[in-house]
Amino acid sequence: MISVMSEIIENIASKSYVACKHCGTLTNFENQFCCSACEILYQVQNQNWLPQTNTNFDSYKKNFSYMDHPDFRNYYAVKENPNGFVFYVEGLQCSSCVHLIEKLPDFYNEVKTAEINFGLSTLVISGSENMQLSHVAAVISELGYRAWPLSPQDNVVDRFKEENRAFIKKIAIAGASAGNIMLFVVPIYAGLSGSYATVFSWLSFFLFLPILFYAAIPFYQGAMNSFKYHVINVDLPIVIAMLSGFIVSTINLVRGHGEIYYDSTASFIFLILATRFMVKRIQQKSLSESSLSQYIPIQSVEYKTADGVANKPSHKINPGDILIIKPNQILPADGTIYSISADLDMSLLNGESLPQTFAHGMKVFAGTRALNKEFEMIVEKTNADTEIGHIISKLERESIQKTNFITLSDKIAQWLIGIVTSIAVFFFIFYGALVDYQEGLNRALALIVLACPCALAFGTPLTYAMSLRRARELGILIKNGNVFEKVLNIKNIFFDKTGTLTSGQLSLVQYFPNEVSEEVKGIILALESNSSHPIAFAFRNAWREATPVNLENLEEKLGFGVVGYYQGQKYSLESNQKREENGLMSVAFKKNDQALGYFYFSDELHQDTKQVIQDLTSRNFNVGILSGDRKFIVNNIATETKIKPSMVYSELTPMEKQDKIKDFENVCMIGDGANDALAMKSALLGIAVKGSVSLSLNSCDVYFTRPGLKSLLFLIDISQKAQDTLKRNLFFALMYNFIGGVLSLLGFINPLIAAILMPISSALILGSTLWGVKK
Amino acid sequence: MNVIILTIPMALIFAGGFVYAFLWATSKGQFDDLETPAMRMLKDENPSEQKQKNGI
Repeated sequence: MISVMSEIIENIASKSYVACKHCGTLTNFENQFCCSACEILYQVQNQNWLPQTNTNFDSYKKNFSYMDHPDFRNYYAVKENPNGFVFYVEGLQCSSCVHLIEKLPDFYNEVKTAEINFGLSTLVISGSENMQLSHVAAVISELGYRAWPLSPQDNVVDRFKEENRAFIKKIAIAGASAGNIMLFVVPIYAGLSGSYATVFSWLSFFLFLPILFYAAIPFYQGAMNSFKYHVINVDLPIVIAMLSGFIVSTINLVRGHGEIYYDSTASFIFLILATRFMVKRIQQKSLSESSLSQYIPIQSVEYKTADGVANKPSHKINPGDILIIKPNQILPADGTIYSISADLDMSLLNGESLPQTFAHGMKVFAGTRALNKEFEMIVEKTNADTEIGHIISKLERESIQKTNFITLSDKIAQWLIGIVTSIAVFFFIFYGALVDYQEGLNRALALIVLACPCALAFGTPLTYAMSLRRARELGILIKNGNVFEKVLNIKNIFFDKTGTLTSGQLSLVQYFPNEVSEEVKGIILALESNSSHPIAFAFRNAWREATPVNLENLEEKLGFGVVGYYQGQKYSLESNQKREENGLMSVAFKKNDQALGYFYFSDELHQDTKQVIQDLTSRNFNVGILSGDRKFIVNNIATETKIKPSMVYSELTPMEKQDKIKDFENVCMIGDGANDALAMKSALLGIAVKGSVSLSLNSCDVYFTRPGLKSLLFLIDISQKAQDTLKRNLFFALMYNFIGGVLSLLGFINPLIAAILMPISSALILGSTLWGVKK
Repeated sequence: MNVIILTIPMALIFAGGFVYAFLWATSKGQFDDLETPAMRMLKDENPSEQKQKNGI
């Protein structure tokens, strides 16, 4: 199975790379640019290109018109500036992207400043009062990115800012203290004695105080938590080691003889703080991508009043309002259809791949998307009362109950702390009774200081940070370091179907008869020309070259299909449930009600799906499907991917998916929609794939930013490497602890040896980690 | 060796000064974003932007 893995990696590596025409980054895209920013910048420089000249611009802008509502602006404006906003920008690749988007004031005069934070993928803008957010969003779309405004509570930039600054200050203090203590300790090691040595030791004592009272605060908090939740974590041994180091050194300082460990204690606190910050930074990057917590965007909605039509923001809708829903709009509330009919895309809510037609009086749900035509609905339930609101509040409730997953390093910490303290206590009692209590205390404390779980405290976050970065390079965003351990515990893997195993888009796979004339293609394209039904897209994708003919009296009939007249003849496309063979969806093409042909569609698998599932099965994972889609479609996909029928479940509601997950142990759930969110939360590991909606991003641990499922194999590989490195680090650390412990109990350890041993062990672990994670 | 009575406080004041400067820079946002500024400086400004900044 390892060979399969390396084969995949080789395939990727062997793909020919070319240098980007603008920035020179190696890229495998065929159009000679690594990203659209480079392409546009190249055009800006060579052809005086400006975004507004594009004809699509107005339609872009119209899509974002809801952003111009005063309520929307007030809601999203940053605290200090009513005309300042933070956007999350998807698609930032390289420095050209930064450069291009920061040119925003050039493209739109009302914008005064635009500043990108590349790590967090955010854009901070400020502008004049006349600045239209819709215009800003449209320009950004035109440049080839997707941008959403972030509300103040979602604003990761500000949220992380204070936290990070406080942490950097702690690192600075710890570093300065540790460095200066070392300067004063070197002369003592070199043999300085007498009053100068006493003065220098006291200076070290005072320099240690900022660490004790300020820099070490995060460890105290961690140690307190370990009491609160009755789980011993790594912070507890760190605090114990630091405090014993401080106490034994201070006692010896006051006594006037004995060992002093201020220098080694200070430097390990500094090292641990610094590596923790590294991990924090990388995790924040992944967190920012999932900060789009609003599932139903706040939008401006048209509603009917006694004397006409007015607009209001979606969170102020009341039950009983009659809303006018536009094509492509996401329904802001639950309610019933007031118009004759409506077509809705339900895939986000229940995973169903085909849109559904709803008639007057039928119930519709918030979070679904209107398709081709405008319709009216009566609101019944809003916000938290809606179906999707229930899912969200259930998610929030359950996210408070933390999963009780204990990581390997926590286990070792528990084990180590027990053994070391009990040895120290026994040694103190026996040595004290037999020889001397004071010397016994001294050696026992030295043992605790030296047995500081350095590798645990420093090697583990370092391994995580390196692995998180490696994963990020491969397009895998991970929220938490212990994901790597969870991955290795997984036995069952469940996939959602629509959008996860498949691309989520229909494509034309078969037709009868086998030949389709250009004229028929033209008629069909004309019949479907106004439709945003997935089947219409499938026709358009299949026949890009064909030109639609001019039809007369084009008419869409509820639950039936489309009808139109061409050269006096009646043509129609009708849904054809009877001929849904082999799990394919089908439509019939008719001339004067006589069938001329049948067309079959299916939701195509991603290119790599079969390969990945085969690999997973050969690695002894139990693979299954949990889908909300209809049974015959799901079963068809299961046969194609050779997934065991006993592991295939269809027509499930989001809650039923969650219950299924609970029936199995050590489950990984991979999905993309709101319908998977609960299941992902309940699973040991929840993975969201590219194109997921924000709700599922919030409940997942991992997010694949590249299409397809190959990332799953990479994730398993990286996890394996991380775990190997972790174990090797722990082995080094335990050896070191054992040797150091024996030496200190025998009384051979003095501060000089401690000061030499500690950096050596750190260097060893650093080297082992870099070597282990790199390749 | 008596000079050490002078040099040690000097060294400590010096170190304190640097720590203070670092903390000040941190609270002014110097280390908020460590990636983007490095990318920003790679690109030349447009002539028009330079004119605006120079007040021409």
